[in-house]
Amino acid sequence: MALTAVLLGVMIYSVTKGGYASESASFWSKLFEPLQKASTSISDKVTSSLDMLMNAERYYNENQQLKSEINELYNDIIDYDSLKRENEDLRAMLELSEEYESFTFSPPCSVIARTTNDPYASFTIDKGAEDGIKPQDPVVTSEGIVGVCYDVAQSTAKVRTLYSPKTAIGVYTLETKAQGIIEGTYELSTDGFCRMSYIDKISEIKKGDIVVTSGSANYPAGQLVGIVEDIGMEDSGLSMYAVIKPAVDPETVSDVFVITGFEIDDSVLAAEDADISAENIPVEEAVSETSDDTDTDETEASSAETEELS
Amino acid sequence: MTKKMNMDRKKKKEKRNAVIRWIIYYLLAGIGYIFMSTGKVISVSDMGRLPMPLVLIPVAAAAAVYESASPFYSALFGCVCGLLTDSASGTLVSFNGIIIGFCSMMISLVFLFYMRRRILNFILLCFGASLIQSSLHYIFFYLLWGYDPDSGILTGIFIPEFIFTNISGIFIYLLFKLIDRFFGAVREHYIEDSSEAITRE
Repeated sequence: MALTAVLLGVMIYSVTKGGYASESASFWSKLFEPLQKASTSISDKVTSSLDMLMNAERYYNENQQLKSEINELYNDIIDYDSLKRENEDLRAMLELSEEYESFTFSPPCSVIARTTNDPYASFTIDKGAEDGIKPQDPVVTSEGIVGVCYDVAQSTAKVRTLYSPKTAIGVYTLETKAQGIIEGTYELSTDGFCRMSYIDKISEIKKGDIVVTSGSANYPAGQLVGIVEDIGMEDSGLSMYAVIKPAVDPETVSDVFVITGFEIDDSVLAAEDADISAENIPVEEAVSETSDDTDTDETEASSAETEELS
Repeated sequence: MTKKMNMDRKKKKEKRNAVIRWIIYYLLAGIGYIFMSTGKVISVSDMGRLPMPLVLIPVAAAAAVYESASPFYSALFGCVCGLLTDSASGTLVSFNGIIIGFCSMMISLVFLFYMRRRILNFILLCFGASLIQSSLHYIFFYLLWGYDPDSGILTGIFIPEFIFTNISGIFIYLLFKLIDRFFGAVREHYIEDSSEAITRE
């Protein structure tokens, strides 16, 4: 009875506190606070564990769904990146075709296969003879020349890159006008370089020179090949060579153009004719012609004057 | 009567299995070709550039081992694998066709008459076939033309390629073994077959 009366008294006292806890309630709450926390924590853990067990299948399904959504998003990002890159390539190629109006370009070509274990990184493109591509046609990107076509099929063509020793392209340096032939070697190709050979040893070629094609019946002049990285003397001591960093890395290129036609500079053809005729002249005659150079010059000058007069 | 029916059924099943087997072989050749023509080298960051295995050589060799009863078909399959290798490697068309076709036929005949179907025997003959192919490829396409004065191509491309080809051969042989387990010769024994041995009194 007495206890009931005390408790009733406490109740009445608590009611009169006007919304605040009484001292005794505060005392009890302080005392039980850690226990309450612990019990809540345990209860939460048990609940979540039970929830996990009870709804494991649902969570698993949700997880799988989220994973697939993430994968889809990743795929979208990859597609977006590849489309962006393709767009940039095509835009650059459009600029290229606008820049060289005299050139006839093939449709944009994609690299569809790489030659297995080829030391010179040759590859196959998805355009061939039916797109006007012929053997020896130069293959370019907006950054420069990549190589030349060979083994042209109806709908595909193989491309021999600048790394190959079979790719002999006449080139010269823009600043120092040193002429040479671009050809590859395995040792240089592993480091991403090719070689410019047969450079006149009195030429002033230097590191950093820009190398472009000198032009021939097969290659248009002025196509960027690369930059001179190093210079050396050939073992024979008769000429120099230069190590060239190609403007385009053939191992990573994915979209290219083939120049299927271009207007040949008359001077290039004349020079080629002169070379051919010089090759056909017997050595003795060539020597005699060289010794009579001054005479020929005079004769040419006089004939030019005659033409002017007439 | 029942025995004849069972024999017919067995023959039919064997024929069906053979067709399935060859379809799988040609599919494997196609997959091998795609694998070979998709990348120039396997790039491993620490090891630099590594050549890819010419998987079509072990594929042809394994088919020759498991189809040793028909050397002609093995040779034909070897030729197809060789032509695919030609296309992927950029070699003269039919160069590998002839080599791998010939090797396949030889492997078939060797397994038909002299060797048992064991993995070690296969490794030995696959080693021989890839050695012949690699040597001829190197000699005719690089050595004779003087493209490899420092033997860089030999040590950097051909020897690793040869090693990887033979390593891949082990897995390819196991794959063919698996195919043979599911679609190989029918080994069912019918009661009538074995009842021949029973002495009837």
